[in-house]
Amino acid sequence: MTAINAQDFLQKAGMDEPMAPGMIKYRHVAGDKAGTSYTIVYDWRTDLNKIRVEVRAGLTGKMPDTKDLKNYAVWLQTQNYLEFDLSDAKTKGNA
Amino acid sequence: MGQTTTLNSFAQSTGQAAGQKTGEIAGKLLGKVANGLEALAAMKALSEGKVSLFMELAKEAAHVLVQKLDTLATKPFATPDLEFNGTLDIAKSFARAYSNERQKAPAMQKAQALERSAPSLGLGSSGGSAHGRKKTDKKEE
Repeated sequence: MTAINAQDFLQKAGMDEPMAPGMIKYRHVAGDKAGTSYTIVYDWRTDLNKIRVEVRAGLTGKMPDTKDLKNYAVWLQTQNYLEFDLSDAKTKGNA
Repeated sequence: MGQTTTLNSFAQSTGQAAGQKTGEIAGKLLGKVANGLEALAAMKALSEGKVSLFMELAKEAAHVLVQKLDTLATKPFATPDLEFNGTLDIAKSFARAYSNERQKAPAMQKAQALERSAPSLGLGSSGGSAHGRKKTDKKEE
């Protein structure tokens, strides 16, 4: 498998700003039609050993309840996330 | 002021150090298991608001993984005579062919015998035999 570090992961997942452990960042994308807006959450806070990039329906940044999910596009009702596991991390440098 | 600078530089250095850590990617796109650089590209497309591009890349990322898994899962079972590294075990192949022939032979003989005896037993017609049997039972009674 291709070796990739956290910085590369974030850049390749579309996060241009620098991030550090304990940070959570949101990117809101407003759709043209109703129910197509979504938020991408870059979460390095919930688990410090993982960076989770998740797509959540709506612009609130929180995943809507199951009963409200029907108002969104079908692809937003499915799971869309990527996790970068740092638990067995090999560090280069002086950390 | 000096303290803030120190905190900022500390946060930056911590972030930089953490950014150098390597790890593994796992996740789901469109509800299907996806990982690797294709999945990352799909996520980037989504962050730029290109939903149609995301759909294509996500399908590819998920499809590639499923295909890889299928290949891994079916390879040893494609031909049982193949070793795990893909080489043909000739002895195993012959042994299996021989045992198959031996298993087939009695079955074939039985089938041929049934075919020969079928007209006399009246097995050719369907449904009629059951009625016929009932009638004969009644006669016997």
